[in-house]
Amino acid sequence: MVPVLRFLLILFALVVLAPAQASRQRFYPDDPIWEVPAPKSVVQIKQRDVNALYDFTYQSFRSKERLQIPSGGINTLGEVPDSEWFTNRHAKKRMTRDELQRGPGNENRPVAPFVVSGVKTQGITPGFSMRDARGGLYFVKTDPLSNPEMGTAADVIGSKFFYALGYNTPENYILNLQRGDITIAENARIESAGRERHMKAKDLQLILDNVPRRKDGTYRLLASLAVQGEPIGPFRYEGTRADDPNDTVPHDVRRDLRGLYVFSAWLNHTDSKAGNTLDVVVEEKGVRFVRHYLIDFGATLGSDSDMPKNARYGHEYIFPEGSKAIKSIASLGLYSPDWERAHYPDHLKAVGRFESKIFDPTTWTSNYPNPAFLSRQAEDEYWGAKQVLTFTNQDIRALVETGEYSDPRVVDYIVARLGERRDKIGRAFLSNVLPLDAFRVSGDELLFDDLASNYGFSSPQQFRFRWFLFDNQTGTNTPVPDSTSSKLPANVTNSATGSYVATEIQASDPDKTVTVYLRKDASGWTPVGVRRK
Amino acid sequence: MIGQSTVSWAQSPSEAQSTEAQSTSRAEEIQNERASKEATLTPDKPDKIEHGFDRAQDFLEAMRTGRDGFRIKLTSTAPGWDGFILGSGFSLGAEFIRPDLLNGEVVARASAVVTQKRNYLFDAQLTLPRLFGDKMIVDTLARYKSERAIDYYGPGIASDLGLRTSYGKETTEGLLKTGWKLTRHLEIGAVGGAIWYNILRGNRPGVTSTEQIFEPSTTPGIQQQTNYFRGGGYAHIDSRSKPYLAGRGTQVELAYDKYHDREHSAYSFGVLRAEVRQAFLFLNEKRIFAVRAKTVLSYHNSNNSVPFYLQQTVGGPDDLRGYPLFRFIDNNQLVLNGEYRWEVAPPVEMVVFADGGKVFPRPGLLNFSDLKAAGGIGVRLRTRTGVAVRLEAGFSREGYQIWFRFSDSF
Repeated sequence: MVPVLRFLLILFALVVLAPAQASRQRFYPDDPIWEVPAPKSVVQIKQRDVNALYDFTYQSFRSKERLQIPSGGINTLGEVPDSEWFTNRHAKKRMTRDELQRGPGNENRPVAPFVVSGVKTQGITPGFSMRDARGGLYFVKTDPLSNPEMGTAADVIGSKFFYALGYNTPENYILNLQRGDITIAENARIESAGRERHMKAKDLQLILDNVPRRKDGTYRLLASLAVQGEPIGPFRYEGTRADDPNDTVPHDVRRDLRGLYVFSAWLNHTDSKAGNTLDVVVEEKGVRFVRHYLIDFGATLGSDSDMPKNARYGHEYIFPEGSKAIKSIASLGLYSPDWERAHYPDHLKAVGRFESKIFDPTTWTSNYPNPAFLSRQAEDEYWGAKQVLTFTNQDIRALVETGEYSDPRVVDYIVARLGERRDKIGRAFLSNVLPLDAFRVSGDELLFDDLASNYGFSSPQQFRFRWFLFDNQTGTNTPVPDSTSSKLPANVTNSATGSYVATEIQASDPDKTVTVYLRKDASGWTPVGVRRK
Repeated sequence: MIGQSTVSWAQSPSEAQSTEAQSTSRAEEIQNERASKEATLTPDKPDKIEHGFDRAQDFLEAMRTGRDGFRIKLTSTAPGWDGFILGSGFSLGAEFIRPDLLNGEVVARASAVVTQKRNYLFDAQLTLPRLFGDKMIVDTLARYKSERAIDYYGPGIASDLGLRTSYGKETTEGLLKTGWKLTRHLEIGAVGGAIWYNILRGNRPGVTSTEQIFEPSTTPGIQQQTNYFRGGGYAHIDSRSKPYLAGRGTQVELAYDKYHDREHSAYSFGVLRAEVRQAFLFLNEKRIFAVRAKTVLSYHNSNNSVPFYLQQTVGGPDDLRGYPLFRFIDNNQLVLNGEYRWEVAPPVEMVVFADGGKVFPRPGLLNFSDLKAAGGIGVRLRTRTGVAVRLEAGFSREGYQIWFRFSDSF
């Protein structure tokens, strides 16, 4: 459905149905929800792939303008509740070092002997699938000879970061393989020029010959455990699945997918596309439902899987804007954007091309346009940024160490660059809204954190307050005179349970406000809604 | 069709968007939305355009893989061997290939190809590609090809553009090649076999056939064709970690071939080929200066000569791009190329080039004097594995040439 049509439908819902909504309560008793209800069972749902060439072509050449549609899939505080898409983790409750390093799991490290069951024919890097001694199915990928450890480490680190950020990711492991630990299954097949034949030891050796070997003769590989469930293909970054009753929020509207832009920019996950996602049908407590995964992180950090990342990636789309292309052609290549002159640690091959100096989180791009990223708004960026900022340098180091780099300088380098990129993200995306968060009431005073100030991006500010009585049935606000401080107005402190009050907070910039809605519960006043402008 | 919903639960307080029945809780509202969608579920299918992409890719895949070993062929080359001479036009043919014999230890193929200029080719190839742990390859090729319009301007660097003629050539050959990959970057090998030539009248419309203008004194072999035993060796050094990545590293090729005239003992000669390619990358590999030096030197005793159809040519899309194809011909060749390439987008590369080249009668004349010069500009479409298409305009004192090729320049 074209965006215009979707916009008109939403407009229809907002305007035409307004009389019906006028009598509807704005907040429900269970707001704000932090977990979506248990999913409905899917009945008929089938495998459906995304044509990679179509996706690339369509997204590259369609208009990049998007209508300003507010985000969905959020609670009344603007937060993303736990769901089949996303689970609040590190940002909501700090994960320990062990939890960060464990990520989606570390109990299934592949155990020798291994049996190759097939050769990977899709994707860029050579690879194969295998089963370990316990019968676990793993997809195995390799590093390029030119950059040992680069791609395999990126894949593991990426899976841990995105897991800590809230997404479902597969268990990825670094595997040091002894050649004698692996054999070929009798029924393993390989395709060549359209014909299949039995896979032989030579075929495996051909792959391993192009894998960097350690001094002890082992091969360093990436083993990704197959996620549990029935794979039904990738999810798209727009629309919904027509055959999934639980998929009701258009993906390009979802805050967890719009905000993924910020995380992808931080980690330089330039290959954020439908093809690197996976939907699986799982069954829990007798209910079959779809769980949504991000997969394949070989193109995060400085890696592009089979080679160092193209210096262009993260700065321009594969097909850049016409004006930039014309500049390049007309100047006979003398026009040189900043990213062409970025410096990379050539002496640290395992890093690839990763830096922070010219990184600009506001202009960062995936390899080709991602509809959810294009639809993002300042609030989505803010939501993503405040999550990124919860990762301390120690947290980052713990996660980067899961890449099992042999050179500690590589860890130091990546940790430093990620820290700098994190801070750039904070400065950029906390400045587009009034970055007040963690609202709570203590006594008769509304308290909150000024994230920009807390993280050192700005000096403490003075705030002005305008209090309202809020009618939850009609949505009308009634100003409370002479109430300009953070203290609740005197005439509302004794309000009945179920009453609502709101305050609009403003700092020096009159265009940026936060309105906080409080509800009187048995235990006192509780923030139930946040609206940013 | 991408599933759509106008429902986005739980936005900001005044923007509750549910159009469903009145709910008493947020959880109920979400469940109502789900129930509403559940009543209208449809299979999730690609839209028409994506379906078209699927079908097009299926078709191309079917062309690539064929059926029962048969498939369409759009080039004249055999794996590891050249194809038609330049300027033959677009190719179309059929190929039978079995890469799975003895579990991939033996590859057999045969093809028949015709071009828009009515050149045609039949070949059969048997390859043992994976000997000694994939370090050695043995390859045999039997081939007949007929090329009917090869331009010839007469010998030497001072030949007259106005004396353009054309000739045809039939080549029947049986060749054996062995290659050893000694290290990751060094391969050596040997080639031997027998070749039968038959020179024909040229059939290019409006162009005189070569034998009507040129005589044996200037154009050896024009009246008396011969057949050869051919044998020689080669060495390739390629320092690139991935051969398809343009410009990264150094490439050196050395080869020596001996052509023994089996019939007249008048056209035996040896050919030494040497080529060096080097690229210099800067601005994070978005700019490349690429250079190539290539020479082919022919050696023969005083009783022999090199037949004109085996002499070295300069002019065309792969060497001197401002001159017509095969514009200069003689026993020996020197080609120098320089290219400045810049990436407009990963799939699009622009190039400005300068070419120099000459032909000369004796190896002793190998020097940089009398070089013909050309320059130009071009655009290339790249895939992740190499140049898919290039379009170039070359300029020289003799005018300009437009080239459209499905391969890299060097």
